[in-house]
Amino acid sequence: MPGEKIPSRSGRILSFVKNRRTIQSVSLIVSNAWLLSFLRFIPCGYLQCSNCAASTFTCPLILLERGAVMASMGVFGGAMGSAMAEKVLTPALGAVAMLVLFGALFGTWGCGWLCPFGFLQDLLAKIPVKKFHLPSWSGVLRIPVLLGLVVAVPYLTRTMFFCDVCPSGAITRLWQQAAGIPLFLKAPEGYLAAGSLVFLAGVVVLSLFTLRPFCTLLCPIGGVVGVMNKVSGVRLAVDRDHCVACGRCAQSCPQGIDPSESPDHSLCSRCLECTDNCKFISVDLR
Amino acid sequence: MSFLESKAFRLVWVILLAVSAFVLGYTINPRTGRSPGLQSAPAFGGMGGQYPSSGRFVMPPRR
Repeated sequence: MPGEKIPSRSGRILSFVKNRRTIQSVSLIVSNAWLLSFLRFIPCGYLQCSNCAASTFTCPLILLERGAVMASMGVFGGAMGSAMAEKVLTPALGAVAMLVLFGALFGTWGCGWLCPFGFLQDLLAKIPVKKFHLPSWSGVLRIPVLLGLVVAVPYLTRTMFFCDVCPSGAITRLWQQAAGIPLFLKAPEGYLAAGSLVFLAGVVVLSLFTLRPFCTLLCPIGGVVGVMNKVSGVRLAVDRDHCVACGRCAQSCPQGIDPSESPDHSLCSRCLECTDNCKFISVDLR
Repeated sequence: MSFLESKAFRLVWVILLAVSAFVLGYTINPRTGRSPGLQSAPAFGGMGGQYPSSGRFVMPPRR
């Protein structure tokens, strides 16, 4: 009967994880569970600062940066080079592999449901202030940020530039400084770390007025997995036979995109709020 | 049929995923590629993925 929503098998399977805030909270705890840090050899599929002493996983960006820095030194020849390659280049390749696999399986689902920094921005967006949507093309900078700030600049300057300015890393610096764990605020690159605090403050303020500004504009991981939304295992299925283009899904989308027109948009964080407001959009596995 | 739904793309995609799975498995396998520096947090004696406090890598002198 038209109008009656029949959940798919995979939709029923996924229905038990419908509470996004719960999953985000659990992910925040698991990703920063000090007792689980023996798992740190595993690269993460979302942004998680691994300079944090409590971090469970390793951020793929720091692995890529280390690989770029070491590659710029040309240290991969000889006996010492082999050891360097094993310690640095292999994890960098592992980070790329994890991003490809994570994106292929989940797309941006990890951004919307697992990423602690995205969770922080989501919570800030709950503060009742008049919001605006960033344009749908505003995610185009994310891949250039990955290639430029995570690979090229570390390669050219032999510094961990993105980590130095990363706002997620700024949170790590703040709490570790507060806890008496010395980090690199006093380092030669301390001005970059101080800049990251300003950057973090900017993200916090902007998060009050628009959803997930860092994820939308700059997150390199979101850029990679966002591209793979078109081919990822977790996807939005639109019942085009019954969709009447009423626009309710677009109105409910926090990112301001139209899921009925572009369910695989790279900025879609798979929050699934459109599925709550429309009978003809559901989450599906393929 | 779009390119993303074509058999050729699916074949390439499956090969890419298989290679990625192999690389990731190789990387995190302790007997092959696991980086000692990433094994544990500083509190457990590892470098915990941290980079030197100066933020800049300094190569040891050649022997």
